[in-house]
Formats: sequence, C-alpha cells, structure tokens
Amino acid sequence: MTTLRPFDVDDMFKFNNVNLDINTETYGFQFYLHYMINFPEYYQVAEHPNGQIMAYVMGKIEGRDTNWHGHVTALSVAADYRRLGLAAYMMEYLEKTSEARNAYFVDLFVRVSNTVAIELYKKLGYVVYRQILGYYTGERDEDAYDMRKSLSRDPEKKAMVPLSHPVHSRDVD
Amino acid sequence: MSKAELAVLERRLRPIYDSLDSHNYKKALTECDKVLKKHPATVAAKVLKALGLIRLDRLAEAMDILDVLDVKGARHDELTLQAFVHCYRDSNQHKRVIYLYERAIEVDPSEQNMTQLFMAYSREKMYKEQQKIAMRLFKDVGSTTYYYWSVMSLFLQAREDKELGKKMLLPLAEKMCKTQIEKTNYTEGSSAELELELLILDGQEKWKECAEFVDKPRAIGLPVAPHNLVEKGMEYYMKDGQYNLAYELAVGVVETMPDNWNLWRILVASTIRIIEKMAPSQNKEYQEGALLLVEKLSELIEKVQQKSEFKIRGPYLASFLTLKVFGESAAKVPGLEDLTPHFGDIVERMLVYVRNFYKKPICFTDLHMYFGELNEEQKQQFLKGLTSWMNDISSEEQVEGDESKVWAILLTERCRRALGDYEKKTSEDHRSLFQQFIAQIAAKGRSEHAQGVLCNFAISHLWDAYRKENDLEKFYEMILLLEFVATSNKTDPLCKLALVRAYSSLCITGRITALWKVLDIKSVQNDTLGYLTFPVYETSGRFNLAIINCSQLSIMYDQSEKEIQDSIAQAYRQGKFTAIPPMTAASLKLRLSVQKTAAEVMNRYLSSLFVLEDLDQTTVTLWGDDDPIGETRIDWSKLVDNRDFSVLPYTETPEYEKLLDDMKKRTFQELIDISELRSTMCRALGAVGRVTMDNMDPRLARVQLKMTVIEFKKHLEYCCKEYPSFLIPSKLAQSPAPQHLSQWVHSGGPQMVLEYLEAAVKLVEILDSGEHPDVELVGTRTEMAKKLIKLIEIQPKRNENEPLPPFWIVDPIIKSSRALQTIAAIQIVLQFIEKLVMKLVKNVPTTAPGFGKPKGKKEKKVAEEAVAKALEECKAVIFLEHIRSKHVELRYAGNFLHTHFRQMMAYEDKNVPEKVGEGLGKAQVVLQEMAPTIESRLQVSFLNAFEDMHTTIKSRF
Repeated sequence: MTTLRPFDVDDMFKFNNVNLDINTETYGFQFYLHYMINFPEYYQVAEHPNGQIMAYVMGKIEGRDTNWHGHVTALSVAADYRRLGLAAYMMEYLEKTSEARNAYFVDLFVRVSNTVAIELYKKLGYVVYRQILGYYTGERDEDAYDMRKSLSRDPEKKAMVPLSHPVHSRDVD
Repeated sequence: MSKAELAVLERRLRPIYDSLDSHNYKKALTECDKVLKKHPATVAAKVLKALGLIRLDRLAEAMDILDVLDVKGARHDELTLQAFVHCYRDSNQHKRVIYLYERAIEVDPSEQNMTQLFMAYSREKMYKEQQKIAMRLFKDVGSTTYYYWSVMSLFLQAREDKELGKKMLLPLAEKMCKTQIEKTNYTEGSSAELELELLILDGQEKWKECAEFVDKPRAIGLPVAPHNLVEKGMEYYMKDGQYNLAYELAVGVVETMPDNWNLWRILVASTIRIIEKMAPSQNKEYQEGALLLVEKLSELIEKVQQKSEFKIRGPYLASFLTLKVFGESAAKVPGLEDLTPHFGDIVERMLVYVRNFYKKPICFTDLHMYFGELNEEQKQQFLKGLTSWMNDISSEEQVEGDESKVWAILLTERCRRALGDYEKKTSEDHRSLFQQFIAQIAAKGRSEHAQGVLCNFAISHLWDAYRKENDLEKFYEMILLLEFVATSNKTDPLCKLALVRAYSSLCITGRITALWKVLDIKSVQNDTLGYLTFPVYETSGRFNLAIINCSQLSIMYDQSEKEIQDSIAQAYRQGKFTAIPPMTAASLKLRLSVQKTAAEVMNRYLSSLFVLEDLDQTTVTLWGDDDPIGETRIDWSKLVDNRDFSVLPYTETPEYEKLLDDMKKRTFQELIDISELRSTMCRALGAVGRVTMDNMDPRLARVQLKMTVIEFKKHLEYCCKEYPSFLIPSKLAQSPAPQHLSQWVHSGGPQMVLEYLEAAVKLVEILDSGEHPDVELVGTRTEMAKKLIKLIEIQPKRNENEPLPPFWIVDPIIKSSRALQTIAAIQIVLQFIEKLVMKLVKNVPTTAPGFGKPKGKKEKKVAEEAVAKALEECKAVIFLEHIRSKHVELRYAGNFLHTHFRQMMAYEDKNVPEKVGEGLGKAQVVLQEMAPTIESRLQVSFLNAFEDMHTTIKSRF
C-alpha cells in the first residue's frame, strides 16, 4: 500500500529513515531542489499511509540523438519497507516516464560493492555496460558500474552492448 | 563598465578571490592592499577588503569601509555589487542587499540590477515590492517572463493575506494571466502559464475549474507525472463534492494500481461522503441506498484482492481502512452498525494479514495503524490467534538462511507489546524474553537488518526499566547489547542512533562523535537530528568541541539558505512557479529552526566566555551582530520544531503516544528557554561592554544596559519557576540530549552573574554622577568566596559505607561545566567593570592638594608621596583593587575545581554497574565480553571531559 507522489521540499525534513541507509548519500538542498525544479516527474516519493517515507527515486532525462536517455540518479528504499517490490515498482515507473519522453534507454550508476542492488537491476533487465574507475570519492572511494536497459526505441538493444574496457570517471559526462 | 574593462578588473581581483575562496582571509587583506596601492580607486578591492574583515570577525572595521562606499548616487560595477552582496549576506544584513540594489537602479536601471533587486525582495518576502519591480522589468525589457513574475508576486501576496487574496489579488492575477495568454499564447516548451493558472485556481478554491483544468489535454504540459495528474483530478472532484465522479474515476484505475493508497483512500472517503450526503433518516430508501454503496465497496475490495498478486497489500488494508473510516463517521446508518457481514471479522482479517505478510518487516507497521479499531475482547482474540499461529510456525522446519521465523517472532512480540500484553507479564518473563532475543541477535548468519530490528525491540524493556525505575544496571546492559550489534553490524543505523541517545545522557562525547561520523549525518540531517547530540559537548565541558560543532551547524544553515534562495531564483527564471511556494516555506522553516537559533546562541555564548581575548571583540560577539544594524532580533515565539523523532521506532501501547507528544512539547520549550537564557545573559554582558565603547551613543548604551539586565533577570526568574530543582530530563528512548536547564538555574551560577550585572548598572549611575564607587557595590571577597565554594561543590554525596551508584561521575561533569561557565561570565563582567571605572571615573587625584609646581627634589618627593596617599584613599582606586582581588578568587575557584577533579578520579567507586547480565544464562556471555572495552571507553570519555575543563582553567583563569 503505497502513495506514489511528487517529491516535496518538506520531505527533506523527514527522509532520515531512508537516508540513514549506508548506501544512500545525503546532499545539500541545491541537489534535491535542482531535480525538483527541472525533473519533477522523475522525482517521486513512495509514502506509507502512516505518513512515513518508504522510498524515493530521483532521475532525469538527458543526452542527444541516440544517447537521449533516462538516468536514475538515486533510488533508495528504507530498511523497514524492503521486500515489497518497491524498488522494482519505482524503476518501472521511471522507465515508463522515459518511454513517454521517447528515450532510447535508461541508465544508472551503482557501487561495485553493492551486490544486492546490482542483482536487483539485473533481474529488472539491466546489464553492466561499463565500469567507471574512481567514480565515488569521499569516505568510501569506489568504482561504479554503469548499468543500462534499452527501451522500445532501441529494439536492437544497441545501448546495452557492454564496453570491453573500463573508463575513468573524468571521461564520463 | 564595458566587458573588456570588467575582464581587466576581474583579472586584477583574481588573487583576492582566490584567497577568499581558500579561506585565507588575512592573505586576502594583503592582496587587497596590494591592488589598492597600485589602483587606489578600485572600489571592488575595498569592498572585498571589507569582506575579508567580516570573515575575520572584524565587523566594525568592515562597516566603516562599506558605509562610506554604499551611498546614494554611487555607481558600482557588477563585480563590486556582488562583493557588497557577499558582505551583507555574510554579516546577516540581508535588508542592506535590498537598499544596495534600490540605490543601484536609481543610477543604473539595468535588467541585471532590477533582477537582483527582485530576488532580494523575494528573499525578504516583500512580495508587493517584487511585483512592482517585475512589472517595471516587463515594461522596460518586454519579456513576458517578467510579466509572469509579477503575477506570481500577486499570488504570493494572496497567500500572506488570505482575505484580500480571495477578494482582489487572485482574481486580478487570474485576469492578468488570461489577458497575457490571449495576447501571446502559451510559451512553447514552458509550463509557466499552466502552472500559474492552476496555482491561481487552486488558491481561489475553484475546485471544479481545477478538476476540469487538469483534465484538459494541455495539462499534460504541467510538470507532473501522468498518474499524479489523474489523482490530482480526483482530489479536486472530492473537494468539489463530486464524490460519485471521484469514485468512478478511482474504480477505473484501482484494478491496474491495486496497491495505490490514494485510490483506496478516495474510494472509501467518497463512499462515506455519499452516504453522509444522503438525508439521514429511518426510511427504507436511505438504508437500502447506503447498504448498496457499502456492498459495492466490499465487492470491489474482494474483486481486486482476488485479481491482484499475492504480495499486494492494498486491498487487504482497504478493508481495515473502511472499518476505521466508518467507525469515525457521523453517519450512523440503521442496519450498518456492524460491518462484519460486508468486510469480515476484523480479527480474522488481521490474522489472515499476518499469515500472508509476516515475512515482510512492514507487517507490524501496517497492522499497528488499525489496532485502535479493536476492542479489549478483540485484542485478546487476536493475541490468542497470533500465539496459535506462532506455535504452528515454530514447529515448521527452517531452511538455512531463511529468516521467516525471526520475522514471525518479531511480529508476535511487537503486537503483544503494542496491545498491552507485555505489561501484564512478570519481570522474569521479560528477562526470559530478553534472553531469547539476545540468542536470536547473536545467532550465526543473522542478517544485519533483522539483527538491528531484534536489538531495537530487545532493548525496549531495558528502556522501560531505566525510565520507570531508574534501573542503571539494565541501562548499562542496553548499552552493551547495542555496542555488540553496532560494532559488527555495518548497515543498521538503529542501534547506533540508540547509542547516541543513551550516551548523550552520560556525556560520552568521544563515542558520540565516532558514531555520528559512521552514521554519516550531513546537511539538513543536522537540523532534524541535531537534537540527539546538542548540547552534549557543552554539558560535558568540552567547550572547543561545542564551538566547532555549533560553527559547523551555522555554516550548514547559511549554505542551505543560500542554496534555497538560488533555487528559488532558478525557478523564477525557468517559470517553474509551482516549486516556489514550497521552497519559500522550507527557507522559512530553516530560518526559524529552534536548532539553528540554539546553535547560534550557544556559539556566541561559549566563544565569548572561553575563546575571545580582546574585550571589544567579546562585546560585539556577546551583543550579537543583529541589533546594531537594525535587523530584527530573535522572536522566540516564532521558532519552529524541525526535529525528526521518528527515527527511533517504538512498539508501545497508545498511551506512549501521549508521553511522546508531551516530551516533544516540553523539550522544545526547554530548548527555547535555555537558549533565551543564554541569549539574554549574553546581551546583558555585552551591554556592559558597550557602555565602554567609544563608538556608542552613551545614552542609548545606558538604556540598553538597564533593559537587557532586566530582561535577563525576568527570564531567569521565569526559568527558576518553570523548571523546579527536582525536575529530571526526559527518559524516553526518543528524547533529545538533555539540556539540564533545571540544574543550571538552581546552581546559583546565573544568579551570581546577575548580581554583578546589576552592580554594573549601579556603577554606571554612580560614575555618571561623578561619584566614586564603594567596594560594597560588588560585595566582599568573602561573600564571593562562599558562593563560589557552593558553586564548585561538585563531588557526589556518599551514603556511609556505600559505594557510589553507577555513572556517578556524570553529574559532577555537568556541574563543573556549568560552574566554569559562571566563573568565565563573572570574569568578563569584572573586566568590563574595570574598564568602566577607567573610562568613566572622574576626580582622580593627579596632583597633591595644596601644591603648585614642585620646586626642588625634596618638594617633588613630598608631592609624589601626597599623590600616592591621595590615590590610596581614592575610592575608585580602592574599588579597582577590590575587583582585582575578585579575579584572584575566581582563579582560586578554578583551581579548586581542578583539585576536585583529581580527587574524584582517584575514587575507587566504579562508574559502571558491577553486575552485568545476571540470570541471562549463556546470553550473559555476550554482554560480559563487551563490558571491559565499553567500560574503558566510558572512562576515557570522562577523563577527556575533565582534561578539557582543566585546560580551560589553565588558559582562562
């Protein structure tokens, strides 16, 4: 039982149960507000009937020509609301939104150590397109996988053909 | 200034910018001087110099520079204006940004300057002014963007004045919007017009029009996801009273979205509204109509439940929601008093829900919302059913790695606790359950999530014992168990948060800092979760850490405010008007945050007492940088509570909710009161210093001194009354770090500070009348010594032949910290008093009475001796000597305090309970193994607190 609604600035004052997760980064206001202003339909919050935030997804649409794609910036589910299929539900939502915007594919970056998330994305049809060296910096420096899933505009799934070599984060847009 | 000239200027200023960006402010000042030596007329360099001074906390010098340059008629280039804005923002003089640009557009009404002025008005919520400037921009530049800014300004004005908004402002905005759209049509690729139209309709509560608006094909241009738009439409129909329509729309999509809570909410609410709308009567038609609607809803729930996948919880919960909503409704339909035939027996349905969803961690949270619908008998039935089901589950074989049973146990025990069954058990039962939970926590292969939830539940009864009976042994067991999990469990935040909470009442600052870092608390989380650690560094006497903590908080608030304002500006520029009101509300929420104010006041207070050396700088800091400039002072009644208390979950009975609510209110008020006490003390202390300052209006300084001392006195009296000495900090597991306001106001410390402040007021009067003060004005040295001895009486009272209780050292730490604050505050008043005497005293003998110019060595010697004698007899000199002797008393007090520290550290009494985990069987080992490490950690923390306070004593007194 979930309400999927647009992100509200006020959510930042009550998203601790989600953001206390070790793999979820907390950013400054500008980061969240940038997505709220520019990509509101890509920024959705799942709310429990008791008012708690269960999960949120934030993303955007970007790129040119065949690189026009939806990007998942963050997807996080609070520990107590896991195993309900929320992540899959929200990813499906984001894919549909990207389909409606005529995108070729959806991509996302994930820590190489986050095996649970990687497995989930694989289940949802994503493949590891490339490894990005030194993508995560700070307390826990780490590489990222760039995972992709083609949408109906890319029937031959060209976007999903993996690169044979890793790339450095400075060479990524 | 041309682009080329600007580029030259920018190149010239580059070294200054670089130094400022790298926080090297002294170097920035040198770079400014270098530029000004070569190009003395570079105003931007002067303003940047002022910025460097502000960042070095030399506000007065900075203002001297700025006040000369920021004057009517002065024409400044873009870079200089930007530098001014930074100066005013950094020194919290936001209104001056407005004045700056108001003057700027008088000499240069460029689009850039007017836009900046618009944004400055927006920051200050001066919507009327921003509307005018937007209209002027539209007329001058001709862009419709600015026209819509003007319309948005009207909308925002209407939000401030609802009545005028409905009558005049919103209809005007609607008309303006319509006229412009007719003229220029909708802007391609922009949602500006659509967003404004809907905001204005919504603001006027024209629900029907709103619903029609979102139904139009053009509404797809709104920045809203399609499903959100459909739901928005239904909400509008509900608000418009078109319940049938809302119901039909919801029915149309619920089968495809069976887990959508909004749809079920609308379906249930519309059904009950339709029934309520039907004329209530005994007649058959009404009863049949109502029955039909209930049956329709019941069938729908059943149908969707059968059609949807097993894991979909929506239809199941919809039936609970229906029972709840019907129970709360005023419409009592004959024949529908009992809904069991339509929605089934609630107990049965709940047990079905348990069977279907017990493996999901959410199962308890879902059910918990509807426990209020059960009567006592039903509660017992449910618990009985639950026990029977649990027995079945227990007998099932468990596959390795499958944690279903653990979740079943958790669900059962959480329900028992929430339904009051737990309270009926004996303490032996509780102990036995605790033992079982420890075994589950320590079981091999336990997932980190389950381990965290198990631990969170296991400690509930330990918190109970601590809260209700002050059982410190159980409290320590809780810490040991939490540490056991927190040490090995990387992903669970619950145990770490609970530890921070427990340690905050024990002054364990070292571990709190480490846990906070592991939890990675950042940005806005410091506002919503800051209550868990604030003000533990202050109460622990670790003043430098407290100052660093508060400074970091202040930086976060400034940065957040800047980011929100930049985002609002971005939203205006892109015509994303819907985003503006919530961002404005968030900005206000941060500005008025009680945590923000508390941290800022604490920073001012502790920096003045323990860091600053220069008395003038101390005066400025104590007084605060708000008032001299004329910006509004803290309005304590408007502060808001952003604290997020939901992070530590609980499973208690509904009575606990009341305790929580009460705790939230009381701790919020206590945080306000203690911050106001610190603030009024700072202001009163600063006011004494201001009388000695040359750049102050003497009359104003005296009035302010009297007023602020009265304010401090009144608030102190209020706190003494509201926070009696027997009051102890809240002990709920969710409570914030204790403020210990009661301890402070009854320690005698603030009263001592007040005495000296009142003496300062009298002293000024005496000196102004040309008289000299008597030593009695500030009391004798012995009187002071007596009070100080009482203040530093920090050792715990011992019952004969009995060891001190566990954690006995915490109380002396808090008392010592507060005693040091009092000593430091008195030291400052005494320094100000000395300065006052030196500045204001008149008639001090400089020549011996009866002597002319001394002739010869002998006469000169006699004259000198006469002056010395006269000086010795001069009251002012004697008074100053007396004040100096008081400083010595303060030093003694500091040294005695340190002696007490040393004595206490030599006590043989342990700080932790002797017995740990008794009666827990094998589970005791888990706790005992943790004990030595934790005990030494606690000891180190206590030692650090005393060492830090010793350093303060050595360096300050």
